[in-house]
Order: sequence, then structure tokens, then C-alpha cells
Amino acid sequence: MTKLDLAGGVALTAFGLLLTFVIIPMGTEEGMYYGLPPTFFPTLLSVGLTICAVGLTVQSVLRLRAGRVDAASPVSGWNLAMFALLVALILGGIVVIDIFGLLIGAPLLIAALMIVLGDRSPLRIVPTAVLPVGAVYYLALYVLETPVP
Amino acid sequence: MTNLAAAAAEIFTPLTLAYIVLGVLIGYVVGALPGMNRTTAIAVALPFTFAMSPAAALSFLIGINKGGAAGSAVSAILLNVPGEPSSVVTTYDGYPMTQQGKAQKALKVALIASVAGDVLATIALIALARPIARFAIGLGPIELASILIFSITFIAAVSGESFFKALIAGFLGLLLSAPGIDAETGLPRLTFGLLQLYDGIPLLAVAIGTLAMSEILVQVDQGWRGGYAKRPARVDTGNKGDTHLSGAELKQVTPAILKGSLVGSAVGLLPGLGATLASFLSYTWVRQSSPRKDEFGKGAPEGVAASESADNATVPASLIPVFAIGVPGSLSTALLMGAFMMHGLTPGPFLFRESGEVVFSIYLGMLLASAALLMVGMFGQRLFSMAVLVRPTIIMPVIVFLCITGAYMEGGGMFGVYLMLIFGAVGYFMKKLDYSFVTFVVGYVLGPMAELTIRQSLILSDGDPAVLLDHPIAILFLLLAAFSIWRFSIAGVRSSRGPDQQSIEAKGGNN
Amino acid sequence: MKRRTFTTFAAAALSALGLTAAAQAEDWPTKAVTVVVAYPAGGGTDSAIRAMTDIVSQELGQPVLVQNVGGAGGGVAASQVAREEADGYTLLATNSTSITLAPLVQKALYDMDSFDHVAILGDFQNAIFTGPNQPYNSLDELIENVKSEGRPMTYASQLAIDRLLMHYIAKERGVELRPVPVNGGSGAVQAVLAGDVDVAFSGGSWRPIVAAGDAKALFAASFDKLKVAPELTSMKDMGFPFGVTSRISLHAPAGVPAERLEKLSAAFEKAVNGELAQTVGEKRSMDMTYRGYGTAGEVMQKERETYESILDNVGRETLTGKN
Repeated sequence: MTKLDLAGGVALTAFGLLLTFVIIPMGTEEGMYYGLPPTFFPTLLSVGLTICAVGLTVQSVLRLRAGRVDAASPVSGWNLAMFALLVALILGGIVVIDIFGLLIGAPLLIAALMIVLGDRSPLRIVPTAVLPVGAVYYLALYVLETPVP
Repeated sequence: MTNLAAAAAEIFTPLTLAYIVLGVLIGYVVGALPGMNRTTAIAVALPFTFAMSPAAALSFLIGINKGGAAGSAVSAILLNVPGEPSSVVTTYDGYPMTQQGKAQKALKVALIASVAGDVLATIALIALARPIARFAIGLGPIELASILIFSITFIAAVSGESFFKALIAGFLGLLLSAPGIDAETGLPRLTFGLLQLYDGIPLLAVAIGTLAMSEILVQVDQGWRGGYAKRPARVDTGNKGDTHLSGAELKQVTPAILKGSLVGSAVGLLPGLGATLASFLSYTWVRQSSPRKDEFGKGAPEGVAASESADNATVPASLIPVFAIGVPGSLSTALLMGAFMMHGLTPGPFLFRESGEVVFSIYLGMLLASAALLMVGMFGQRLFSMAVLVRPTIIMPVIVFLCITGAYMEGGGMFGVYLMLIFGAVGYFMKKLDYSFVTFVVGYVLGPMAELTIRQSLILSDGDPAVLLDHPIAILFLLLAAFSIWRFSIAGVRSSRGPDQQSIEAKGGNN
Repeated sequence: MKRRTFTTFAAAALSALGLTAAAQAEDWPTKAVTVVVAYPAGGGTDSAIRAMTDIVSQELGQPVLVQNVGGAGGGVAASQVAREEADGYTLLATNSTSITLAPLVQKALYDMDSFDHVAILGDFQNAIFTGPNQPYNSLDELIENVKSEGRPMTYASQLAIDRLLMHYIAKERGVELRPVPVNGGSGAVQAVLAGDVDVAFSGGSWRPIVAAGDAKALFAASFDKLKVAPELTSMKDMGFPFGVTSRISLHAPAGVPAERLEKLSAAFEKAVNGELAQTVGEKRSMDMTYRGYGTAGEVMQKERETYESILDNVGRETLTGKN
């Protein structure tokens, strides 16, 4: 965990500096103001973020120096691979929904997720993929009267 | 009184009543499912409330919250797996009771304790919110700014083992509220030409992404390593004395319920502490004051009662600061505050003045939800015992699907959906690396108000810090903020705490 | 032979064309008309439109759907509708300032001529109000009070329209102005009642508060007197050449055939004058006076010119920043 904190601290320090010096000044239009400029609050926060991130970095370095026993890392390569696979799968599903609509995309996504999670029985996969999509589609269109993709 | 009549007319319609019962039912099932929690359910259900009246929508969402708090006892008692962190303590005595064949009795004790805690705390909400709001009307921007600063630092201080990481999460959440039209210049800030960001980063994309989607991502990669198809060892003796609750036993658990409700209400009132800490404190208090201390941990019904009544009492109690001041102290109340705003209501002292009847309707809806809780708990026991067994491979893909439709419904098209997935990934890493979630979400919800009140204070005071001297309440809260930083972080690092308490506090704010 | 065929063909073609044109005028609309409301459900514009849909749908013989697309003070809906097909099936109901003023002061993805102006459905009753315990009862007394205390005049700043008006008044009367940003209409009420600011602009919610004795109305923001409060001093009465009025306006993407617009306009005229819409107007302090296709365009144009003049007066950079 401590090593991850160190990595997180360094990454967040970089992010905080990027926000403070590049993103916030670039993304804000200056107008007339009387109290504080629009950039003030975000800059205050990004500076706070940077300070805490530096603090975290220093703290982890000190802990590593002191030779504290590091508990098992909560994120293993295996976790990350699984995470990436899932996010890619869901992103794919969203793109399909975006292009072909909910009625085609969503059942495919649910079925794909079930298979990846280890369910192989079509008796379970088909109803799970079809019924909730139909129900939500009906609900949204006829009861809630809101558009769905 | 006219308010009350109007409120009754609003709530006592078949549709609204059905929504309330449905909310409690959903909450109960979700609470019972290990790994699924009520904040996930509220986040996913929120977009479906757009078509409802504000009072019905909020009663429905609060119903989910109440049901979740009660339902989490089911899997804690039957499976020894808490449905939510706040029911960890319920397993101490609930599961031993199941092993002794007294599962039905344990479930009944839990239900009665939940409903009682719920009703008592709802009454506390009704009694306290209005007077506090009346007091809060006199608070100007300077006082509000200091209360907000205190809330955020206090939440960061109590929710997480690393104060730095909790503060980082808070800063990130606050930063998330920065994009949008600037309140003073009326010009877009950090929107990068995206019209969808003009009103800020959409609430549902953030809420569903970080609270629901990330939960699924975390669950799945835990489940992948095996061991999530747990089967219950359910034994029932069938002996009437073991399944039914006698009058004497009821009398025996009553003090525990009262203590639990008191602790739950008090803890719920404070920002960031959460139901987990409440149930833990209540359990400890009841055990220490009990003449039969030895029974605890071996199947004492009082233990179950203490934990569950405190758990449920935090739900209405945590709404007190939302109604009265407009400051949420937990994930579920931050979400509910978002729901208020989506329905055009601004929580805070002016809520009573501007939308008095809606508040009365919500009060009535909450009391009805308590009744629904009792009914659903009594007649639905079998259903939940079954629901606990539904395979995660079915539940999780369906929730992913609901996340996608939910993020779409806020408007703005597929933009919100992609954003939701991004926040799902962000939430995954925050969970894995233990960056406090509560601080993040509460920071995001409170950000605009914090910025506005700070800017107002500076404009009205001409940027002169001496003005503070005229505002003793503001000074008090700023001192409290400084104290919480000192007490929980700096001093907390020096004195090593017991591992037990530390883990409880680490999870403290997660409801 | 050849020529004759041609003539027949031409005649047939011509008659066919004529027929379709006639058929279009008669048959349109052949499917549901969608009104995109630029604000969330429950607001003034939304409730006014919803009070009209029944009659409009009767008149058109087709269902009328209402879709709420909130965001960016009407900007999200306006840029969405501006991109729609100009067939008259998609309309925009919004606050006229989001069409006339917004493109002047912020980068917008549309301008006034991105739309055909179908109708003006009503006028908001804009006024400036103050807390009940403030010592002044008119603009002059306020200015005097501010000057004698040697402090800037504070006001609750919400939208471009009130910023514009207050800057204009402050400039004309020679006082320093200090805007205090607030969170929408309820934030403005809060700031006024708490005495944090001198005055605030309100679209209509000032009436119930003033009636309850919780606040005082100082003057109307419009050039002429307000319909709902004729006793209130107007900008004209105080000698200003301009006043501001925001309106509920109905637009279509530019390029819709005029007959369709007239048909829509006629349908909405009946609806605005219907009992339901008038009741909603009364409840929400809106003057539901109808102005149809043609007149609406002129009103919008005049509104635009007013804003341009005021902007020139106070200096554009006051509201637009340095882009």
C-alpha cells in the first residue's frame, strides 16, 4: 500500500501542478468581477490538492525508509487486467448502444458480461439479457416518458 | 395545518403509496444482497424519479435508504455476511442465533429494532429540523462558509486512515464542482467548449459512476478470484420458542432498542460518522450496561437489537442537517440532496418557507415508509432469504445496464454515459487505494455552495478578515474545523489506535 | 407529337406540384409536434407551455409533446433546436433573453437569426425589490442612501439581464455598484431578506413575497408599467430611455415555411387566451398577452436593439469579458 501511496502521491502532485498552471488558466474566461476572479476557487483547490499530494509523497517515502512492512498490495496485475477487460467490454457495449440503440446494444452487453463472469447457461443468459432491457425500455417510454438511446 | 392537509392529499394517493412501498422493497432486497448497498440503489433509482412529484420521489428514495438499512440484517443473520458495512456488528450475535436454529427470531428482533429506531429518529427529525432551520435563517454567508469548511474537514478527518488521502479526495470532489458557468461573471469556466458542462459536471454521471459502477468493478475483480457463491447454512429448529418472539424477550430487548435509537440519532446528526460507527458504539454501550455481558457474541438478541436500531436511526437523523442547513454528511444524504435539487427544491433553512408543504409530505412519506418497512419485513422474509441466493453473475450485468440507462436519463445524451464510465474507473481506483469516497462526493455536492458563500463573504466584507470578529458563530466553526484537523490527523497519527476501532472508523462514513 | 407530350407532361407536373403544395398547407402537421422547453419541469415557462398543449393539440389535430432540456440558462435547448430540421415539428419555448441577449454576451452556438420567431406567449413581470426594513422606498431614495453612506450599491447578481440592468442604472445615476453572486432566484430572495444586499431583480417571484409583507417592490424593470402591478414606478417614469422585459417566446429553426408558422401561431393564440393558460399566468405573475408570427419578430428585434444600446452604454466588456 505504501508504494502505491507513493505512486499516487507523485501522480497527484503532477496532476495538481498541471491543473494549477495549465488547465485552470487555459480553461477559464476572465470577465468583470468584483470579489474574486473565477480562477480563484479552482486554483485554491488545486494548490490544496498539490500540497496534500506532496504530503502523501513525503509520508510514504518516510514510511518506506523506516522499513515498515508493506501489506499485500490491493491491486495486483491480475486485478488490473480484469478491470481493463471489464471497462473495455462496457465501453464497447456503450458504443454499440450509441450506434444501434438500447434494444440491440444492451442485451448484447448483458450477455457478454455474464459470459465473462463465468455464467455459461443459455437458460439464464437469455432471460437476463432480454427481460430487464424490455422492462426498462417500456418503463422509460410509456411510464416516465423520457427518451432512451 | 393547511400544510398538513395539503401534504396528506399529496401523499395519500395510491400511486405515491405504491412508490413508497416499492422503494422500501427495493431497499430491503438490495440491503440483503451482500456487496450491494443502498447508495448504489439510490444512485441507480434516482433517474427513474424524474417523472414523480418531488414529495413522492423523495419519499421513494428515502424508502430505499430505510429499507436498505433494515435489509442488511438479513444476510448478516443468515449468512454471517453483512449486507452492508453497517451490519457488521449484527453478525456478532445474529449469526450465532442462526446457528442455534433461532434465525427467525433473530430476523424478527432485527426488524422490530429497525422499525423502532427508524420511527424514533423520524420523530427526532420532525421535531428538530424546523427549529434548527429557523435558527439557520439568521446565518449569513460568512457563517455558512465556515460551517461548510468545518463539515468538509470533519468528514475528511473521520473517514479514512490517511488524512492526506481523505483531504485529497475532498479537494478532487470540490474541483469537480468547478466547471460550469461562473456565478459572478456569467462566463463558462473549465467547460472546454462542451455545452453539456455549462451547468456543471452532471450529478448522475458522477453519482452512478462512482457509487454504482465502481462498486461493480471492484466486486467483479474480487469475485473472479473465486468464492462468491456462498450458500447459507440455514438451520431452523422449528421449535416455536425458537422462532417466535415472546413478550418477555420483547421487554428484554427494549432498552437496547432505545439506546440504539439514541446513539443512531446522535451519530447520524454529525457529518461523516455514518451508520457503521453508530451500530458499533450502540453495541458497545448496550453490552457494557447489560447484566449478562457474557451472552454477547454468543447469540444475545439485545446485540442484534442494539446494532440494527442504531443503523436505522441514522437514516432519518442524517437528514436533519440536510433539511435544516442544506449540508449533507454522508453519501446517501449527498445523493438525496442532489435529488432535492433535481426536483427544483433547495435544501436548507428556506426549504420550510418556500416549500413547506413538500417538507410535510416528505415527513408523512417517511412515516409511511416506516410502516411499509414493518409490513415488508414481516411478509417478505421468505422473498429476501431467496433474493440473497441470486447469482452475482445475473445481478451485476443487469446493474451495469441500469447504470447506463440511468446516466443517459439526466439528459445531454450519451455524453453522460461515457462520463459515468470514466467516473466508474476513477471510483474503482479510489476504492482500491483507499481514498475516502464520502469526502469526494460530499465535496462535489457542496462545492458550488462553498465557493458561492466564500465569495459572498469576501465581497460583503471587502476582504477584511477583521469582519470575522462580528461573527462569533463563524469563529466557532472555524475553530472546530481546526480542532478536527488537529485531533483526528496530527494527534491521531501520534497515538496509535487499536486496529479494531481503526477499521470501524475507516469505514465509518461509507453510508 | 413530341411537343404535345411535353406539354401534357409539364401540365401534369405543374398540377402535381400545385396539388402537393395545397396538400401540404392542408395536411400539415401529419405527426406529433415537439415543444422543447429550455428549462426544467416546474418552472414558469414550463408550466405555461403545459397549460397550452391541450388546446394547441386540438387545433393542430396532432399530439403535442413537451420535452424539458434545461441547462446553461436556456442555451443548451436553443443550440439543440437551432440544429433541428426546419419542418415546424420541433419548436423551442424559452425566455426571450436567451435568444436576444445571450448571444451578445457569451459565445453561443446560435444567434437570433438561427430561429424563426413564432410567437410571444407572455411577458414576465420583472421588478426590483428590497428587504422590508431597508430605509428607502424608491430608486432615488436608494441612490441617496448609498451616496450619503459613501458605500457601493449591492445587488444579488443572477443572470445577464439583471447584471445589464443594474450596471446601466448605476452608470446613469453615478453610483458604484457591487454585485454579489447568488444561487438563482431563491438565492436572491434569501440575500435580500437577510439584508445582505440592497436590491435584487426578480422575474415574478417578488409578488407573493411582497404581498406577504416580507419585502418591498421598488420599481418595475420594464420600460412601461407592469400589468400585474400598475401602481409600481416603471423605468419610463424615472426618465430612463430603456427598460428590460423578458418574455416567454416560441421559436422554430430558421427556414420553416411561413404557412406552417402561421398555423402554429394561430393554434397558440387560442391556447394563450384559454382559461388554463391565463390562470397559470395569474398564479405565476406573468402577463399572458399573445403576439403572433410577424409581430413576434418585431418585438424580438426591438428587444435585441434595446440590449445592444444598453450594452453600448455600459461598455460591452462589463458583461462579456475579454474575448
